[in-house]
Amino acid sequence: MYTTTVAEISILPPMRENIKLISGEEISSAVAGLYATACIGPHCGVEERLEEILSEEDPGPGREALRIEIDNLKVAGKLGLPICQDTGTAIVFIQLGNMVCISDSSLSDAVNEGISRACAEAYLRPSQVFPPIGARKNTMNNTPAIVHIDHVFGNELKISVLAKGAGSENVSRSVMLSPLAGEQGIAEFAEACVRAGASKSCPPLIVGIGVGGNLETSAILAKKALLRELGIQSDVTELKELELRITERLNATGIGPQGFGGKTTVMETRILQTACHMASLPVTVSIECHAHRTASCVL
Amino acid sequence: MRTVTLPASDETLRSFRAGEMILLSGLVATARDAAHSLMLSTGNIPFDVQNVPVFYMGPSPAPPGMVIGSSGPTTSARMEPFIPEMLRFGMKIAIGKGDMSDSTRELFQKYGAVYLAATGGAGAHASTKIKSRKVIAWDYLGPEAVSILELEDFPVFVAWDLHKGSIYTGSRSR
Repeated sequence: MYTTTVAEISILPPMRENIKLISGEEISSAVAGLYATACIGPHCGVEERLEEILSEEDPGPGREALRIEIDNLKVAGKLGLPICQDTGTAIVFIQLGNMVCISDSSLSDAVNEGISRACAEAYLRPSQVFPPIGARKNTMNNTPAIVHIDHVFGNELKISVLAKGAGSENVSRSVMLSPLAGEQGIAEFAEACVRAGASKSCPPLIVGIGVGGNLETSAILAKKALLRELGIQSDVTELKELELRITERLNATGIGPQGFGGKTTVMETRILQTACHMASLPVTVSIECHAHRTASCVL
Repeated sequence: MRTVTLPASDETLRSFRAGEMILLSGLVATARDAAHSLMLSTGNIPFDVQNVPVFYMGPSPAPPGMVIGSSGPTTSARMEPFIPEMLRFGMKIAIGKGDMSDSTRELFQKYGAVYLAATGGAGAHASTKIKSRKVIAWDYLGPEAVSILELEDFPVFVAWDLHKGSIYTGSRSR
């Protein structure tokens, strides 16, 4: 039987030495580490941000709940427990360089092995059921993960894991706005989503908004917006201003931490955009709870 | 801060005011969607629903040496289809997170039941206030199995009281 090895594949000489071989095990091990870290901590910047919000919040149940949210991050780190029992659907975003070769596994098999391993070893909650209607039997290892792959130039493999709970996912929404609905239409839709769903989705929230593309692209963009580092705004001036205006509008609702009333319903709004059909304006609002769990690495 | 030992008397329930924080001690039962569906389709509620509050919660697995993993509330609104019957069976206290519909709120009033909110997304903190966990039915449901928890100074907020008060004043559509 003839099997082709990487060395035998005809590759232009300048490219050959740039090829990076990565094993499935390296990917599984990285994914397991990222998923556990995302769920348990440390969480870059979230605790500090909640402390800032606490210092500005008026006395009341919202403020008391914020104290518990902050305490929770400390306790989780100390006990090695997930910050939220809903360790989510594991959403794995991959940037796959064109010169990366995964030697002995499919990418999705390697990712799922990592999620399954973290679920067992870090005592994360298995929450995936199949089939989705009828028996809804728990797969007991929290697989399958949801994997999004972008092909990029280079010889690196970047992995970002977002652990997304159902409480916030269930109140996220997509809409096809009228093409000229513009900033006003997007802000109104974001407010409708937050009014309807905020108390169920553990505020202070992060609101990811994907604008453009089509039905699925806007949703993936909204999710990708949630990967952005805390405190970083859009580098597009118009979007940066819109992010700030939407945050201000959502905080004016007074829904507050946990929906108990207060000044801060939303920590920040993040918008990503792409082109769309002239007859469309697809928009997705992806709601993220205060238990914001993400981690990434480069192989 | 007020501490309340379960089971709570009707008089205690009447004294609750929306927005108030309470430290709960005593027994509660956990049940989520799948457990509610089973309890009501079989007519078998495997705990004393009149005296034991229902806590909408499915924990993460307990690491070795701990009684429970992370254990915060899940979204109460998903249980709304089951709530009328649970109230008829005598449920007096539900513990969860998030606002529910006006019609459910009216039913809580009618049956003299209160709705308490635990802090969502703070399950590690919650776990430190749980002294024991015993699965009592449908073990195969994993995190969704019905279990009895013993709470000690578990922090909750009165979401709906018996005087039409609600903690959720900002979440209604306008």
